[in-house]
Amino acid sequence: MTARILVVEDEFFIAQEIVDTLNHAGFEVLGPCPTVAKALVQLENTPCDAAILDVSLRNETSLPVVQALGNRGIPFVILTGFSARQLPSEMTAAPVLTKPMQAEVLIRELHKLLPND
Amino acid sequence: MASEQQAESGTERGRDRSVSGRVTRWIENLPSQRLGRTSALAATLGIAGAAWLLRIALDDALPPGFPYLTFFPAVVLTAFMFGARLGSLSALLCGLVAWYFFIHPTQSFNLAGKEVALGLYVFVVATDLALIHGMQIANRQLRKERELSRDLADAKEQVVRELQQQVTKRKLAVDALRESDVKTHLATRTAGIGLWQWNTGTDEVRWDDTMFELYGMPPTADGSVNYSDYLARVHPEDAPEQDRILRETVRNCSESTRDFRIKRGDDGSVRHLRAVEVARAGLDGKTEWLVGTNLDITDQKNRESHVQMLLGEINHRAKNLLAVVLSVAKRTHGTNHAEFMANFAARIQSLAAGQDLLVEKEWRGVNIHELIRAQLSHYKDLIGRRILLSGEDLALSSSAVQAIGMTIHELVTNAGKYGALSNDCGRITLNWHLEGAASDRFVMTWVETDGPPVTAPTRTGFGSTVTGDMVRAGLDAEVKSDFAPSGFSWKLTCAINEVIEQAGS
Repeated sequence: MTARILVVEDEFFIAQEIVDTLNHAGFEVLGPCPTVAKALVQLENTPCDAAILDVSLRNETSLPVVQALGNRGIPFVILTGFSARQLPSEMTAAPVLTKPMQAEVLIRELHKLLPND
Repeated sequence: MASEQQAESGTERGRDRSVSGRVTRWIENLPSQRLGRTSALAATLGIAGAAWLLRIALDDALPPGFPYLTFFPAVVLTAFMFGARLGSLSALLCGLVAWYFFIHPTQSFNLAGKEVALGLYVFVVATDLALIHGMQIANRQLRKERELSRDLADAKEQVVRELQQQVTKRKLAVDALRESDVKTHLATRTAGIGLWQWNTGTDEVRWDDTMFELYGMPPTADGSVNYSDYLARVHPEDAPEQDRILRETVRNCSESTRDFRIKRGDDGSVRHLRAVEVARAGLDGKTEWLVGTNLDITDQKNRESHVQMLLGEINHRAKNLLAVVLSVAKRTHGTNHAEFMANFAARIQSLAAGQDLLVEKEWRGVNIHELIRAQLSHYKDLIGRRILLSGEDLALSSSAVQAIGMTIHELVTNAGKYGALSNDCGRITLNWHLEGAASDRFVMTWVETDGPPVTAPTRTGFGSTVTGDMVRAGLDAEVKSDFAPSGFSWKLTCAINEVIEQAGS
């Protein structure tokens, strides 16, 4: 079974990079969602196995998505331009990768979060 | 007046050198204590002896009688000079000498026939001594009183002089205090510093005018407010901590500096204040009152948080931009390295132009006209002639700056290569406006005319990704590209909130 990964990222080109990277590694992609509202709707409609989250989405943070994922027990990776010490503690509990993204590192972290594959 | 008094008292204290003054002083000091007891006794005996010799010398010249003639003066003189005690001794000796030698029958202490003469002597001498003694007691009393009144006058003068000095000193101190008060008032007024004083015994807080202005409250008649009223103005989240610090300062009779928020009384706006206060103890060592200052540091706080926001934003944006640059590099094509570099550099410059404007405006909204002119800088000579711009002023958010900026760059690059700007007469009309009942839809159109005949591209390049999917995703927009043979046109429609800088974001 192909694992489904929710991508939450408002920067178009970065989102495209992530999508390409995930597709290339054989994952199915949900999104990319550029806003919190769209991510929450996506999460509501289609189940996923893990998520990749940007922290700063336009004028909001992805903290509500973090909480929604936490409630569902879905693991996630944070991919951000911020340094880890600038982040709220709910986020630093998860693996934090910094931009620019390194494709191999992202895929390795995802595999760590998905115990079944 | 002071100098007059001093001159007067100077004469009184100084010695009167006239003869009558000396005599008065001499009499005043009688009976004399200057000679010792032995000398006074010797002088008494000498005066009595002199009186005796004088009586002998006068004896032949005098008719019978007058036994006491020279002795009365001797007794009076002795009493006058040396007092009643030696006067009495002199009276006794003189009486005995007169009785034995000068009252008939002489050479004997016979009483018979001498009673009257002796009685007269005792009576006169006793009267003299009594009078002299009485006068001397009165004299002594008088002298004491004169000395006393002289001392009193001196003391009074001293008191007056000290009082005058104190009055002068106090006046100087009051003047200095008033001057310092005016200076303090000026300084605090100029700096916008409010002054307050809290009487911990009565819980009454006194404010100056600036304090009432800082808290947006109408001044009370006597400038007093209750401590509880003061706490009520402090932001509810900060009030307990401020109360704790103030009470600790009172308990330890110490000093404190606090930063806290208040809700102004007039418009309810939140302001940041910095307070410094000092406690002062009464005689029992316990705090009696606190005096302190308040200063509005809202602007400073806002600057600090803005700088923090900018630093975070710069960090975040720099990382994002690097990711975008990598992605652009990956997607930029060219038939050879030179063409790749030209295309890549132009896209990086387009990104950089948007960044410059964002930094210049500190991420607080970039004017859409400025952004478009920056993206059209290669064709700036054509603006107004072959490139017609029309639209209202809007402050764009940072995400819209990148999306719209890159889109305009790709559109004009394409027009230069294949479209309206690739011949000598083509024109571009770029318009943007708001639509909808609530003016909540942003519409931007790019229309090319009079260019070479248009054919739709056969493959999707980076340019069409930017003007299509990227701006669609970035602004949650509807985008339509039309490759009509008469000219290329492009239209974007999105919610206004997607492009403008939101207040407070």
